[in-house]
Amino acid sequence: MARIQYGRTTIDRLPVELRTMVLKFLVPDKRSLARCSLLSKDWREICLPFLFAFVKAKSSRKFKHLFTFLSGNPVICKHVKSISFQRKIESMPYLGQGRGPNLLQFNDGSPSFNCASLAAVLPCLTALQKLVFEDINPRQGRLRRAVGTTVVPFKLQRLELQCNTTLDFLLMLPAIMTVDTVQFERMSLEDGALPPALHAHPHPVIIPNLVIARDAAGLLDPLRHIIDRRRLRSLTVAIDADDHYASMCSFIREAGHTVTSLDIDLSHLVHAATARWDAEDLSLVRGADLGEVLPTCRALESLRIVVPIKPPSEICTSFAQADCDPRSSLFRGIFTPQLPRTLRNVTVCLACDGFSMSRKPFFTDGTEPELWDLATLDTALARGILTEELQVVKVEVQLSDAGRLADIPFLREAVVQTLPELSAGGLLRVV
Amino acid sequence: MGDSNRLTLVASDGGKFVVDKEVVQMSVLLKNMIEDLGETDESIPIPNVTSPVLTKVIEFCENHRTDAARTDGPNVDGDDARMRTAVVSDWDRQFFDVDQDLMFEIIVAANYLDIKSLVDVGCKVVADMIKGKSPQEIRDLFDIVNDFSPEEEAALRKENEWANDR
Repeated sequence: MARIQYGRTTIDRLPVELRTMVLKFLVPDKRSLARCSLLSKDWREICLPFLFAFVKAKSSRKFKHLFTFLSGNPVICKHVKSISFQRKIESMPYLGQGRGPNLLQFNDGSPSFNCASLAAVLPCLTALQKLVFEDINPRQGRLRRAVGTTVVPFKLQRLELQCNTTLDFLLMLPAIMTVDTVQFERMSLEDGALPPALHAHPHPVIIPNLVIARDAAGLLDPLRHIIDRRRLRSLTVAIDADDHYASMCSFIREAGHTVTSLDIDLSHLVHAATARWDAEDLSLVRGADLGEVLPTCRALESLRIVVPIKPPSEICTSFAQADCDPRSSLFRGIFTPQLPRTLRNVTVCLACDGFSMSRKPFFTDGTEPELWDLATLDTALARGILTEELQVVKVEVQLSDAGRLADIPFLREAVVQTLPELSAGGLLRVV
Repeated sequence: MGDSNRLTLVASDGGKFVVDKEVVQMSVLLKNMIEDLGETDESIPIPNVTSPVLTKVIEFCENHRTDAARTDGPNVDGDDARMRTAVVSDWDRQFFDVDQDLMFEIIVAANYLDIKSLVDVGCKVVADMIKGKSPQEIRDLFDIVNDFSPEEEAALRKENEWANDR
């Protein structure tokens, strides 16, 4: 605990912990942080962990300079928690309509990403938690040669591959260091084909936690052939297309024995299917396929399903046949009595997704909130099917306009009334 | 026997302050001390805090006494979220409209007494004083001695470019 210093108290006589706290308030304002780091040697030392925690090189011209900078500054290296490499085409001339370059193919002539430099500097980045590659595509074969005998003695918490970055990084990085979570965003493969290097790779890649954004869901199928599915622990995935839904089910079926956590966002798939008013498509929304594969997940402890919440007037209000109505079949398909008994946490997220809760008349003019067949949770979970391990059933209401659930008590009430047994059993949390 | 809801704090210079227990319990240090002592008429010495500083600290706690329950609870969002969302009210800003010596002594005393909300507000006020100023302006404001040579400072400015988005 700091003690009062006698004599004049100036900012320089504040204990380091208090000056650190002042700097924490400046973290969102990097310019001010940078200025503080120039005040004196003492201040620079306190500022460095904040100043260089997140480093970005936002164009291919900068990559080489960043590697040079890091390799020459071991003191700064030990404060870097996250590095982001983003390839950006600079000063591209406008060639007129129809004559412009294809942005995806355009070669700006800038130096390619130097994988050897990355491999060389990685062992110095002892605090590194996250690596992000956006649109980084080194020439084929360079990645594997670059690795050489490099060994990185710490675990990378997160590897993010975005926007047409080569999947070859999946071979390079896990080969030299333990990678805990890999996230894919804005990624697709031409014709769904894997790069030849990956196709021929003899050993499956170990990725304990896999996160696949909606705009990368096309990778689900090819990834089945790359990663060691027996070592997968958690899968977080967002789906918006029917074939991706099928791929996801196959993926889960194959990885089912070891997966302990599944987080599945179906909100865009449901949006798409209900918008089409197509009974055939709606069969997917029933959740039956997912309901079939979940029982194969014998180690599953945590399950989270995200669906949209909308006022009834905005979602399909009439269906040709009653049994096509996804509202009465989605959860019934997923939450079956065959769910694994290892489940400890079940979460249903009602995602607001652009709908403003401030438009409360939708819910207060006599219509009921759209809660799908949430009552199925009561049937499947509360009546003794999963009582051994189950600790909590959470209903999350995800609001889009930074509103708080506390501001819409009628919605909380509706959820509680829909799930009377879970509520009475003390298992229900509405957040 | 005195009022069991009030107690006496004694500053380092001997100044005595009779305050509500509810108010001083915003200080985790004093709260623990009161719990350890139990019912007692003894005054509590605060050897590291002078009377002018203790006057200000008590003024802050009395103004924020209704926030006490909030400061007692666990910090579920963590420090970073607290830092992002911290708002300095007009009253708090007025409270810190004092000379720098006193301002820093209040912050140090709040840290010693473990009054999180006062430390937060104080540090946020200092951070706001720094924002938008050049290094030299900050040095002038807080009387900080620059121990970098011009060459060193120029090199550091170049290094700092990596701290911004490039």
